Amino acid sequence: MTILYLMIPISLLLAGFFVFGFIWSIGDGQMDDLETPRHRIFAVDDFDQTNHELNEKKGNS
Amino acid sequence: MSLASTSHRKSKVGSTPAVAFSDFSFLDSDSVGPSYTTKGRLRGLRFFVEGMRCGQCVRKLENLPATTPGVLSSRANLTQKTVEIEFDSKVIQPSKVAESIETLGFVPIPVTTDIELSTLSQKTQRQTWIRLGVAGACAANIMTFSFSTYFGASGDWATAFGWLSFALYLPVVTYVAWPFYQGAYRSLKQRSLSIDLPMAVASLAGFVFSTIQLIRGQSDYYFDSLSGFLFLILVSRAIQQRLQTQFLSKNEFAQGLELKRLRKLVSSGWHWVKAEEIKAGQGFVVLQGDTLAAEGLLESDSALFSLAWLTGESNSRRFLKGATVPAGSVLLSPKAIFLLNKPIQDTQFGKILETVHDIELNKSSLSNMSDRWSQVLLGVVFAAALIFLGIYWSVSPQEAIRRSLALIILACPCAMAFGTPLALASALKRARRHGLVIKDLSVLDRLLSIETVAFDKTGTLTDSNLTLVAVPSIAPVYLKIILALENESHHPIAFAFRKAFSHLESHPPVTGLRESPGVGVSGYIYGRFYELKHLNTRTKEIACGLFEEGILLAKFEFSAQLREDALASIDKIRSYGLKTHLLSGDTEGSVFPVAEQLGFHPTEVHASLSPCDKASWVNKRQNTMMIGDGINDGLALASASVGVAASGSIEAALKSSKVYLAKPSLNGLVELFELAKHTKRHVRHNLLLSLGYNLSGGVLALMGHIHPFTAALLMPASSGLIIFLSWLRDEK
Repeated sequence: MTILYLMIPISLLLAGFFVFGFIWSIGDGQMDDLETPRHRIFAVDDFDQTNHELNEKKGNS
Repeated sequence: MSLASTSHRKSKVGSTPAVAFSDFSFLDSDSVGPSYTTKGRLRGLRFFVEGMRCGQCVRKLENLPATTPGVLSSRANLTQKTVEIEFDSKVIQPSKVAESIETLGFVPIPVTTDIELSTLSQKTQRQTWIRLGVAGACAANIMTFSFSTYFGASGDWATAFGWLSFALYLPVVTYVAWPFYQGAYRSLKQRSLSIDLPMAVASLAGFVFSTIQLIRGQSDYYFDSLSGFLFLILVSRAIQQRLQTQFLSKNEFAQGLELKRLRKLVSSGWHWVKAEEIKAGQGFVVLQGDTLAAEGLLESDSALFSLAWLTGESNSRRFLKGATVPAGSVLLSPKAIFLLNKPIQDTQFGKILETVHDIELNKSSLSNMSDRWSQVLLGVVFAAALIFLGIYWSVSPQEAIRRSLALIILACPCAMAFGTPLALASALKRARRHGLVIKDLSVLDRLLSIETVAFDKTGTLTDSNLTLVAVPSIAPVYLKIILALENESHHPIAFAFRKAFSHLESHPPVTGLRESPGVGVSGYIYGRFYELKHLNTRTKEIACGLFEEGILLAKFEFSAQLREDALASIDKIRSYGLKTHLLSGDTEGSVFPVAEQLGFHPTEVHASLSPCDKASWVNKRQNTMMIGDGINDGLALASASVGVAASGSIEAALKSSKVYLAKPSLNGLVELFELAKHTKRHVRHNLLLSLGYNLSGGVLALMGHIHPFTAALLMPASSGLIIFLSWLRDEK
């Protein structure tokens, strides 16, 4: 049973890690719109890249 | 020619992409524009995009930064059918942004965004999800620790697991359950039962009881059941919130905002301002198609107006210099200059706008069936638990608490709370398939109590397009002359002529072609003067005559055709036992033939009604459904228990009505009724199922056969069953 001294902290750490990741993804807005992104991913044109670059530029300015 | 008659008001409202460009210049103005924008210099605009349906549309819209200089980013949301665009206002004007969306083939409708409100709702939604995540993680871990005791762990490890469970329950009882405490406090303050109350009580009482047990070294603590239970409740709540965000709130559709702006006269021309910024005696310009957002004194020599909004009378009226033109009139002449006489809020038109808004706000407070049911159930459960606790306390306080806790957890109307949003979600999915845009789901509830269905005629039962009824026998050369005169006109009659005579290829040249709105067209052909003029007639909707040198040669009659499935749909609605009525602004002469064709009894036909008359007709009757045109019938649609807009742009429609028929077919109405019935059955099944489950479980719990932990396991099973059954229904 001594192994539990190791296992329990590890399990709690893991749980904490996932909760943290979940909170981060929510705060990042990843769950705000679940419908549109799945259509977005099929965009074959390079406009996504353009859009992305422009977004980045804007972020830097 | 422009016979601004019956067809004018309808075709005006329904002017979706027929006219090449809408006028978005108001977005550029310093006083009107900011109501729509969302950010500072790098400004943002949000549009409701009519016509956004698929991934292709998302791609096109999000490609804007690459094709339009100055547009920095574009983010589409397919669920809400909105696009959020950020742009550099130094490079591109807001109106050009709107136009660039329009060139893609969409109809952009700028929506106002209350930033504080929308970030607040986004924040609460994210909070719910974070709470959900924390609750899930804690509940799962507590369960792993608790399981060991169920399987017989004892001694030091059992105590350690107990305290671990306690520690993991702390974030649940504080952070996760916080909204339940708030809700419970509110409901106590308002002296009404809410679903938050049992959660708050179970969470707190369970915590106190379990902690005491833990300190006393006992092993029956319920951190596992409590956290699992709160987690599941949060799941259903999150689903409900997600459903709501699929709709734009009605505040976001600027209520009548576009009807409350004016072009102010300045030395260099004009610019848009808010209607209230122009003071009495100041000048403003009105261009063709504009709605007058104030009462004005006409400064131009003469101008032609349609007063359909106010009087329902479809004929146009000419005003001369110095005349007072009422607010709400639509200008048919190219341009007119006014001096302000009365600001909009003091006019009848302004009052109509306000009324529509008020009615809208009042109706949103309707609660739906499942809320009422679960309130009753909650009351029963609470009373039962309290009575049991009181009676059983003398036998064994510990057992009393355990059993009443099991009862509250098990009989909590969770499946009930789950069942309704699920049923509504699947209703929504079906509605979309049938081309029904439903703004507010409470419509489905209200549809079931409808007793009277009132139809508008033009544009609802009939097409907005005109058809030439019969061609009088005249020489073909005259038909060519008609085509020559009508060649450039945009009036519905011109379209009807061009459609009817499409086999004639060439037409003679015209000199001195003149189109006078509301009167007709005239011009010289082969040296003779021809006119096509509007004829006043009491029998048909519209007639016009061809004149040669002032002598009538032939008379043409037009009618708006019935929609193909109008009769079938109305008959179907009658077969539900509903009374049908026809309300029209047109004269009896033009209403009765249509009414007869559709089987309306003469007592069910009401002609020559102004928009206000229609609204008061609807107001006088309870449980009335009104089907009409988005703007002209706006007041009646908003007054009705359920308003359905069958034509007109979606923008206007969603302001006054709850439902919009996106397909040009009245069959959508039948679908709507079917949908409401189906949804009611679905909701009722779910409710009965959870009720039966709760009752039997509750009795067992009170008899001591169910441990709180078993209760916490059984409760999700009922929810799971309901989800599974809903899924089966959807598949069918």
